[in-house]
Amino acid sequence: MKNQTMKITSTLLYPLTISLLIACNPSENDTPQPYDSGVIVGNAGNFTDNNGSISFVSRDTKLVTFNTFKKENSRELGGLVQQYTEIDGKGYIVVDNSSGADKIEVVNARTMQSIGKIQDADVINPRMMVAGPTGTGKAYLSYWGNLKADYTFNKGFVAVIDLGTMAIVKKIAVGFGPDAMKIVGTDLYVCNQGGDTKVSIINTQTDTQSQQLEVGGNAKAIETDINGSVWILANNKMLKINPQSKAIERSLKIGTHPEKEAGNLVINADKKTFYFTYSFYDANNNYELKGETYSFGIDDTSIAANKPLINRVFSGLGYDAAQNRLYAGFTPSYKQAGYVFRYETSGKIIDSVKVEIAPSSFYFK
Amino acid sequence: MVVICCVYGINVWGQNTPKLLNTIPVTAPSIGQFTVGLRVQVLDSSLSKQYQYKQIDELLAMSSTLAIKNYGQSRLSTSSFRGTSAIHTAVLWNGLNINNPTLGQADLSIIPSIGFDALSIQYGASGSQFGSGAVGGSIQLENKANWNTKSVLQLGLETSSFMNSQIQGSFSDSKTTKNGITWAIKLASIYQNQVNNYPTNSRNQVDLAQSQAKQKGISVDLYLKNTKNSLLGIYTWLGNYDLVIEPNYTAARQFNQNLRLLLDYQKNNTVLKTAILRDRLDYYASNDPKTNPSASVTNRYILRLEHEFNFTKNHQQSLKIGFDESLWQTQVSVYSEKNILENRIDFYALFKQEFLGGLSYSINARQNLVGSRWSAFSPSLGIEYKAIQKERKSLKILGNVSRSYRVPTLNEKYWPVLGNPNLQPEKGIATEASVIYTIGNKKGQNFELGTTLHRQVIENWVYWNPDKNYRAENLQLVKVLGLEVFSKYYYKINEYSFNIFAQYSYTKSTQEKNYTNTVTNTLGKQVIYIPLHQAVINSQFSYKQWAMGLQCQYMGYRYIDFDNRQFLPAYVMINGQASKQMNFRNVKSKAMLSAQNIGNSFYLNVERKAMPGIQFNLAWQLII
Repeated sequence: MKNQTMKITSTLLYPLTISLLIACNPSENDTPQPYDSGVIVGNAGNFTDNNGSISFVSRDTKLVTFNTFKKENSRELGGLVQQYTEIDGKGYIVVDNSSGADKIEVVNARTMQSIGKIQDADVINPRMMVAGPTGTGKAYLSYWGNLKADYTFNKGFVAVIDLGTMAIVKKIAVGFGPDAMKIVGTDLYVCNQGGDTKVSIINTQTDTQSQQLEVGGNAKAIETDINGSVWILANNKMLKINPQSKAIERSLKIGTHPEKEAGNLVINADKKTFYFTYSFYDANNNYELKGETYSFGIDDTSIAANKPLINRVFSGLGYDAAQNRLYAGFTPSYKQAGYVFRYETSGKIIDSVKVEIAPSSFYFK
Repeated sequence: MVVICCVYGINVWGQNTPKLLNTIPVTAPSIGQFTVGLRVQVLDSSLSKQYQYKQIDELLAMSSTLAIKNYGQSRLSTSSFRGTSAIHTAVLWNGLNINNPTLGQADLSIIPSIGFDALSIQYGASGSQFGSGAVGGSIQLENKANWNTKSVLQLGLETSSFMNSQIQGSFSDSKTTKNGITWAIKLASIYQNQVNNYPTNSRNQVDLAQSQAKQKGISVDLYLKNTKNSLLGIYTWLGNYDLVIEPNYTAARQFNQNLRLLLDYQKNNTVLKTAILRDRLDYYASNDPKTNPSASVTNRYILRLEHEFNFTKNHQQSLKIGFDESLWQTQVSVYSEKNILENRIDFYALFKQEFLGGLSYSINARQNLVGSRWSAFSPSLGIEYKAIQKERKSLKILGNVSRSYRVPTLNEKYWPVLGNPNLQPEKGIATEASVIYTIGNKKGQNFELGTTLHRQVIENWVYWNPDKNYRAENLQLVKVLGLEVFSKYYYKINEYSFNIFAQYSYTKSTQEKNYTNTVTNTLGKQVIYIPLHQAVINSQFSYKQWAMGLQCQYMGYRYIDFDNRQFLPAYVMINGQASKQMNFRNVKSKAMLSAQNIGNSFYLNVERKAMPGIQFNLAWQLII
């Protein structure tokens, strides 16, 4: 009988105590949370292994929290990590699964704890998510769509996401392989990089494609500079575009190498200097990936790409405006951990930290 | 078969031995006789019977320490021998390599256990005897004539968890005609429908893909012999396997079709084999399996001629010389060359000498020619010494040094952009030594204990290098060092029979070459998917018409990345069976209840591909 009573008492007491303890915890807003400040590294992972992950790197030390999503939620992301971004205190992880279970994992940006998923049977091969203009409560997601029977793709789409309901409310047809995107005023620029020559421009007030801008080849990246000009990396050229008239004001060919391609474009804090990688697979040297990292200023009249800032090529670049440092992801192979190298803007190396497989994207907070 | 028994004493008291001893060795020359110093494990037929409704991947997982890597129930399943990869296992069907010619590996999940009469596992490199791909070892599937059968018809039905079902039937007969010709026939067929309707679509938050497969298979083996030492075997095997890899993703269907036809003629000491192997492997990116497949078809036309010379004076000497030519004709829709023809020729000479004192050795050599390119010359030397040789007791010491090689697969050579026609063959040097002790008594008890130490260094290992956008390269250098300990106990008296088999493997398989100059922390690290520790224990018991079996597998953790940070956790799998046979006059019927993954283990063979939990099967068999 005594045992019985004890059992009942403890059965009642434990949850009570726990709930009291929880209640005693100060609310989240008042306390520093683990992912409040630092650098989020999106490790793409290896394609069919679906083992992308998010590492969290401290700015001032070499401290790294590995696989943060799994750490906080006891499950893997289950796909390639295409991108991590934050909108209004929530983190959005764009996950591309090689078997089709693509999704956006939504987390509390401060704790990395899961809030939910955005998933749609048609939204396959997602690439990038951007917040809509302030106050619209919307976000946009570019996705390629399903692989066709002949192993090519149809034209892709941009999905409109209602951030309140976490539902996809509209799918806007764009060009082949929509990827990088940028909101400029009320326009959404969509870089089509899967065998297209045009950049799609979507009017975010009507969520329809208002214009297609001929850029001469695959568009890989887009940024805006200090003056509000739009810069698009397409067909190995930097195109400076007037956001009002959409006219190409300047076209700068990058380098002269017959095979090298520019990629991983980022802009610095004052929005005057771009950084990019310039690389190729060397057929004469067993298809080794060769290349370097360069920079150029928005007022430059040519991009020679002959004096490397860093004599290395990377799987991803990021610019940390808080400390004016360049973060560069290095992938020794897709079956082992990669590294993040930190550089001064002069190209001088600061240090390196080991992260996870194929560090490719950065988010600074 | 007789020779295998000498090499590997365990079989002398295997249940299957009497049957095998009765058999004229139609195909025996293809394995065994010259594999001196290598370990060959013939699977016990009492265990094979428990798996008659299963594919051989499940049977092998429970009877050996081959590391079986299964991508999900009903999906691709490959094996890894002694620290090597899936393309280093040669699967031989009556002496012919049936690995898929484009992929270079065999899918063990589409080979039903009922398709053949004997299954043996040959551990260790044996390129000199079994040719390209026998780097880690070989799986030998053999069909054997039963000259004494009289019209036996069997019909089996099985229904399993997840709405899976299977029907199989076989017929065998034999007869001796007045003019002295004896014929034997065996016909076997299977149809199975794997719906895999799991109650959940994930386990431990890992997706459990509801793959669906339909399998159809038929094999017909016809044997003829006369009184003048002529023997003819005609083997046919046709299999279809239609797989929906993941129903939620329409771009994931696969269709396998394999047609195998072998004519095997033996007269005295000369063997002529001629065969056609046709392998079709299509992938579809749509729900309609007949539209725009990524298709591959390879036809292999094979001619093999062997002659064996026997010299007997004070000791036994055998010399076998052979010639094997196979013409490969391939059409793969993604290759830029639309019709590839490749001629492969092998010359080999195998020599064995046995001395009266219990010492025997063999020296073998093979030279392979692909097109106009000579592959690695692969010699081997095997020694066996019977230190103790008594009626019920023996102690054998075995040793072998072998060169292994693997000619690059068609995909490695011809895949557009990524393949490389100039790839070198992989080459390995393997050494091993075993000690096997057996002891028995008149009461029907027998015990065996053995151990093998093995080492292999493989260079030019072909690797689809992700750093070069997945181009095939001769990049890896792998060193394997391993230990196997195995034991068997067998007891048979009156109507009781009991056997237990256990094996433990330690396999250290390490990368010895860098992929990039910048990061060296992958050197000396364990090769991915190779467990350091693995063990299996299985036991069968029968009494009168009852039979029971219990198998347990321990799979150690396996790393999944080159720098050995991430791993798949270790797991234990338990399977069990119970069956009873009932006789009504001339009709026998057998009911079998079996269960897989009795412990409901959550386990992974590949990242993020969960395997199902416990499942039950109920089977009923009619034998007339």
